[in-house]
Amino acid sequence: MNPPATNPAAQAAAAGAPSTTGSTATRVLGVISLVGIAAVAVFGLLISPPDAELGETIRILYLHVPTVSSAYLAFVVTAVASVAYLWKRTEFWDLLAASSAEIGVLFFALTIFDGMMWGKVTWGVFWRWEPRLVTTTVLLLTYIGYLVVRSIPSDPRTRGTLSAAIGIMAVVNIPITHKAVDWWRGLHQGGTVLGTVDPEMSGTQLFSTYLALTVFMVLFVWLLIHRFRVAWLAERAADAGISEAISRRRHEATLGGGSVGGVNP
Amino acid sequence: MDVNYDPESPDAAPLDGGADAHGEPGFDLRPRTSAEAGAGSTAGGRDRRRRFVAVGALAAVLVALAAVLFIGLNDAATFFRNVDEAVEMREELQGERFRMQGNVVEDSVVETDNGVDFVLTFNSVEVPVTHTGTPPELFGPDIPVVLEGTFAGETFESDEILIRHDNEYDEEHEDRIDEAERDAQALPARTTDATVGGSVG
Repeated sequence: MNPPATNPAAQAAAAGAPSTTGSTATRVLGVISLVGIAAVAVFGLLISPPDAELGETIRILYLHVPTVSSAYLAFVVTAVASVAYLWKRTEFWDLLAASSAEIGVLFFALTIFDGMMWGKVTWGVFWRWEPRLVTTTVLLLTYIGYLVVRSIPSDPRTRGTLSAAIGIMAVVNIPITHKAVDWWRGLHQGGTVLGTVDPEMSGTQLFSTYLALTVFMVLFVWLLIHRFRVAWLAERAADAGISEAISRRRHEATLGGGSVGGVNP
Repeated sequence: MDVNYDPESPDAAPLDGGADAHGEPGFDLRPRTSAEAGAGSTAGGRDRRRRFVAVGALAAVLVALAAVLFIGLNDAATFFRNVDEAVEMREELQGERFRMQGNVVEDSVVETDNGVDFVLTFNSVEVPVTHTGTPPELFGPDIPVVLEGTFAGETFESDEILIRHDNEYDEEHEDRIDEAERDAQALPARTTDATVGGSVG
């Protein structure tokens, strides 16, 4: 990755580009996220009382529900950006869709991990192939597939079109996954807050859940902006690499022509 | 001047890009091979490797998806049978491993040498259960559970108890905290008692 940065073309490209992915907006979001996470820890671990049935293990909920909600939000952003890409055909929407999917996969994998820990202490087992977990696994695999398809070297338009199609199709699984606990028999408990008009929760427990949800949404936006800017800069670096390669070839061609003429008088 | 002169050595090549001692043109006119090519062509080689890895990863993801759908549709479609459904099919289910769902009948739980015996009920049908192994912490009367095991005559022989928690959460109250503390003190003893049959999960 070093050569593009040292050649004149890359330097010219970098001159117009920011040298950091930070801005006033991201710094504000970052401070809110970090202070918010500390507040979630205080409410989730200290202030909120143990659950009548689940005891102390209820505290995993303050991580489990926010991580999955942010992942769903991320995948919806990917789908919307994918539609916008197919319509507008601009790099902005393509990179936004990809950046959001990447953060979504991160949050979703985290959800599965903290869910397994929770399952072990409440159900008694880490995993069973029950409906919610099956649809969840399918959802994770489709978005990993989305990222893998994007990593196949191809021209940006093909890559964008293909991944946009996947990004739109995969989002259909979110309502299925969310409703799996109502539609089929399984082990997983029903919805807690998301999409429920009258949550089966109250008091400090409910407040801690909403607080954690809000904080994780802000955290998601913060990470998304940074990830998007990194992706944008990576594209600029790639562009610079291509112009550099072209100019190097041109340079060689001129040199070569002169030299060959010189040795054959 | 050059005792060890070797025309093949890289040191023999002129530095100025001009003709060398043998009158050969100073720069290479042979077609490029990928090894000696410039930035553009090595990027091409990297691209092929990346494509190979990416397509391999995609194939792995698709195989995993197919496997999950296969397992999932086999298993998740009838994740459990309720007690009344299981009893109705008791003849056909003899010896077959399946999951049965119901509520633990209050005052029916009896600890045995290698587990617990209790009665499971759903839709006012009851089944006696013999469980081998340590029940999970949240196991107790009136708790909805899913058992894994087989029918042996009238009795269901279970070796795994899964707790089905509902989505109702309630803050623990003072009297319940006392209760929980009593449970907490009772639990480690029960766990050590049954370590032989343990290995839940």
